[in-house]
Amino acid sequence: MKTLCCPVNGPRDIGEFAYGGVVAESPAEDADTLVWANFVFMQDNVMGEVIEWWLHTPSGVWLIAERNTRTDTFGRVWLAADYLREARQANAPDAAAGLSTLGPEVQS
Amino acid sequence: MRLPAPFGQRIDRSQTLEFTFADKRFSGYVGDTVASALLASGARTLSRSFKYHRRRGALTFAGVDGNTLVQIGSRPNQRADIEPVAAGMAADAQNVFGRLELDAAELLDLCGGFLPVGFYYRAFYKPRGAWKRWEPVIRRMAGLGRVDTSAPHRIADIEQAYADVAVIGAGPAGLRAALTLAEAGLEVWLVDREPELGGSATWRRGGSSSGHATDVAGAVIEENQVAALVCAVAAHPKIAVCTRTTCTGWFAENELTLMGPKHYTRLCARAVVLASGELDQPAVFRNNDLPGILLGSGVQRLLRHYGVRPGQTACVLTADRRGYEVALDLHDAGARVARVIDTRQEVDEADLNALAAKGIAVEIAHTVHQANRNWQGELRAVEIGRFDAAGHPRGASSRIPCDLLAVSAGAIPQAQLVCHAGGSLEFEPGTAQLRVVWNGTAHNAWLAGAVDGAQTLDEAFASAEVAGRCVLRALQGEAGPGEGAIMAAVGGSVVDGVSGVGGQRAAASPAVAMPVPEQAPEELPGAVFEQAPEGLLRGSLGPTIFPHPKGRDFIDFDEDIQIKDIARAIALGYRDPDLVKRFSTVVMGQSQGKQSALNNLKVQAQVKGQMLADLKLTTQRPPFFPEPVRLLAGRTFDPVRRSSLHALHVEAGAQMMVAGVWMRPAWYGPADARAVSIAREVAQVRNAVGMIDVSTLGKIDVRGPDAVTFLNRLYTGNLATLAEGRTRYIVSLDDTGAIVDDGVAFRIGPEKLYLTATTSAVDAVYRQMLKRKIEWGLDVTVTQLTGTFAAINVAGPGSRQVMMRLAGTIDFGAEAFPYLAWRGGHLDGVPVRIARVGFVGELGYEIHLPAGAAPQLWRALLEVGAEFGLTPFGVEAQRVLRLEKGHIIVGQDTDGLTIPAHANMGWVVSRKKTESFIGAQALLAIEARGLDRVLVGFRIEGNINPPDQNNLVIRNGDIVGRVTSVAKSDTLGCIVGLAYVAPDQDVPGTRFIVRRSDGRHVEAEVVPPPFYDPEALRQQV
Repeated sequence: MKTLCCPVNGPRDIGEFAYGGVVAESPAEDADTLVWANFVFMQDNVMGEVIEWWLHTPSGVWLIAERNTRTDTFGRVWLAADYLREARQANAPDAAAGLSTLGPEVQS
Repeated sequence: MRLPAPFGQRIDRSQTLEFTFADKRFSGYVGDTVASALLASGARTLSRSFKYHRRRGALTFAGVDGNTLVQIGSRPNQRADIEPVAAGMAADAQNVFGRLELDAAELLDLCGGFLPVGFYYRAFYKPRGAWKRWEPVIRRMAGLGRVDTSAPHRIADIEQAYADVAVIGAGPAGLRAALTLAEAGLEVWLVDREPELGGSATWRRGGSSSGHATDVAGAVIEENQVAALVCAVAAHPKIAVCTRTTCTGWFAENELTLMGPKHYTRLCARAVVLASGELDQPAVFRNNDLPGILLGSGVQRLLRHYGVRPGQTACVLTADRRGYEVALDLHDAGARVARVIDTRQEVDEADLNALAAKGIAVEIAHTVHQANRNWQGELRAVEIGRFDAAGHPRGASSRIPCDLLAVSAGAIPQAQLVCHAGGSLEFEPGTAQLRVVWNGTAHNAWLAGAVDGAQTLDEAFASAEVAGRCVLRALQGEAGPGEGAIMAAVGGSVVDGVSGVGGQRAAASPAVAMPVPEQAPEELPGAVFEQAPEGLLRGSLGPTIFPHPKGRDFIDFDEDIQIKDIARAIALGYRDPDLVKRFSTVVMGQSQGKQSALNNLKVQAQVKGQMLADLKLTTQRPPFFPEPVRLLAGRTFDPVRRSSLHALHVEAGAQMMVAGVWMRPAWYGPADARAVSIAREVAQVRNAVGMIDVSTLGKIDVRGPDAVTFLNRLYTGNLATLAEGRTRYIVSLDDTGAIVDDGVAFRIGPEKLYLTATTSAVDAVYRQMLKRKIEWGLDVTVTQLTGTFAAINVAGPGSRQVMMRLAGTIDFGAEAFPYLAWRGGHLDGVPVRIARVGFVGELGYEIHLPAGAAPQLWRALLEVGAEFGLTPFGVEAQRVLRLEKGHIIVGQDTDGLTIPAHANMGWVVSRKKTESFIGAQALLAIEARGLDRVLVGFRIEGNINPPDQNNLVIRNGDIVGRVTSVAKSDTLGCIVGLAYVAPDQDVPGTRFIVRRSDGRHVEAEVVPPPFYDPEALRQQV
């Protein structure tokens, strides 16, 4: 049984969670169409460590979890708000640069 | 032929029973399997092979080969060697044309040259369309059992269970591990396929219950060692014993699927000990598939479990020491052992002496090149001789008559389950021996016994001890010793995450260190296959592959794959073992390579001139053993939600339908009066007044200082301009600009809105809102109220009068409560929010109220509405009504590529608001490119059958669009609908062609919706 440890609810069956995609900050509103197209349609499909959104559906808690796509194992888990706050502080003062996981093409 | 006790521990000689096989009567004992009873009666042929329809008999007697598949009543593909026989049972042969003994398709065996490997991929595709004619023929020729579609339907529930430790395999190692762990206080599940505990000890020479107290070399085995263990395990309260239960899969985080005789269990274990033993392997030579040729372990199982000696005159072909055990067993069972043929160059002197003492002749460095058939197609004799490096005959051969050939060509770890969990089998460098590569610590799972490389009982116990201590340390933390200490205790080491099985065993049993044969590689038979002498681990292993120029040297019995087939697949360019597998179907049959995987790789290595160690076994996937759909299906759980008005609908005679997760009334009236009922309900709404339960609408409360900003970024419109007391139609898009949902927003206060969403999308909308709120860091609170509130839509010219009849605080006057406004207050004593909406195109009120109060209000409405002709209407009538108004349904009239402009709804997008919304950039890009289709309304005159939803719009032979909604409108006296057409056809009066389901073309005329009441005078009164 695959489990994911929710910071609020503890370890729960993966069936209780919904996948929310890889963490990536949207491009700027006025960014080039190509940049947007890249963001919307191109997914990196990384083999290895990825950072993803997961929702614990019964309680409505959004988390952000490290997952290794090669071994299909979870690493660290944060409440989504905590993770984003830390990530944005770490990236300050250039707030527009987005999160550390962004590819170079969307950081422009 | 039956043997006296102690042979035949499983059978009860006092109880005989009768059964039939292939329409012939047979008898057996209680405890027999179908195949053991047949063999006792001298019937050796159980089945016909898949491709050439050759006779096949029992091979492994462990239920892991495909030779024994039979039909038992309505159950196809049952394995006769493990299927218990029952009184009156009717078993039948499969894949037979005519009778089992006289199969018309046997001729295929003579013309095998015309059926090369992969022939069905290559031969039947030309001319074009040929496959359609060939397929049924081939399927009939190649099919296995028959599915009985009239078999009774039974429900088998699936059990979900939890344990501290699951021990797979109840042989000596599994027993010891289970007992160790249970004594340490852990809850243990012990799982084994066999009906009794003891594993190989119940049938191997030297096993505790065999009645034989010595192994080949004469070493005394403590007879009661395993028997005592069995008793202790069976009596231990902490051990749940599951016999006749197969572990079929090992999934993430030690979830195991266990298939018992009656039901299926999903067992989640904190730790696993896998003691699954090993699999005996066959040798490859001409006619190695004849009935009468069994694996040595199969013979031993037959002797000890069922008291059946499957022949009178036996030969034994062996590539290791096991054949010597088998020969001694056969001798003890009264067979004449004509010859032991050993493919090794060097043999242990003690083993030879043991056989010599019984007068059994041994031929060293010999093999069986060919087995001969009698007139019945079963084993009559073997031709033996020396062989060269490629396994071909060298020098003279001699012919030995026999009716039984026992083959022991080495064994491989039964590691399929470990491979499911991420382990792998690799060749021990320089040998043809496979070992398991597995990181136990990473999975809280360890190997024990033969699967861990143990060869003797002592080694198996030592290995189980180590596994047990590793589990204890993992589950009980500091209570156990460290891994280093454990390994030191048994003299092993941990290298690169591979548990040091060789080291462990060497220390546990110094006797295992076998001398390395010192031979020049060119003199060594089988040198092409292996770089160095085989078998440093399991004792040296002789060659096992002996190609024959005339073929019929089968690698895979399930699929009739011969050496030349593998060679041909490689010659055709399939180099990778996984590709050879796909093309030739080797290892893809019923036994999933349990007897063919190793020999297949050996042949591939030879053909390609590669080292075995460079080849990888093909991927192992669950299930380990076929799982009947009967067990997997379990019970179906299709939960549905019911609105608080459900009982009232049923009471009123509604036909309920499933809409997403909800039950909704389709119409009110008899099931066979669909059209009439819908027409009546539509007319009622248009001419008088009706009401519909819309409780299934999604309902979301959004409040907080950033509520408007938040919604302006989610929806296309500008909610900043929505005044308190007003409602507005809202649409949301995804990142690609496609419409994903629509609904209505109520402005409750400056920082407070109440939204509806479509029934099916509301959960996704709500999740998206929670996520975006965090992502955007906005100060807003989102609450889903879908189940909290019920909603009733009262619609029709008489709706205002009905509403005014109810006591309440709301002024329903046309000026006080205009179209698109909402009002809060009390109605009939119930707190409500009421919106004036126009979905069905009439004066209408949508009442939102606490779900618990809805039945009361529904009844009150019926009561006061009676004099205006108020009747409830269902979803079907609502669909017609909304279509007459040209209102779209998201998901029906839109698809994954529909942007608002496609649906002629560009007006929902605000270009003035300051916030950018989801999908805004995509809309700009798509609109800049120009639209490729547009949703239009259409009308078809005349009394013809309407087209169906999704019928295509055709222009000049090309598809330009499709019909999304269509209905025959009694109100309008014609057929109306919505359809995608080419943008230039979006001109009122344009005529276009729809191809109906019956293939006829009908002409439709573009009419801008709404079709009914275009000035919207009726809903705005």
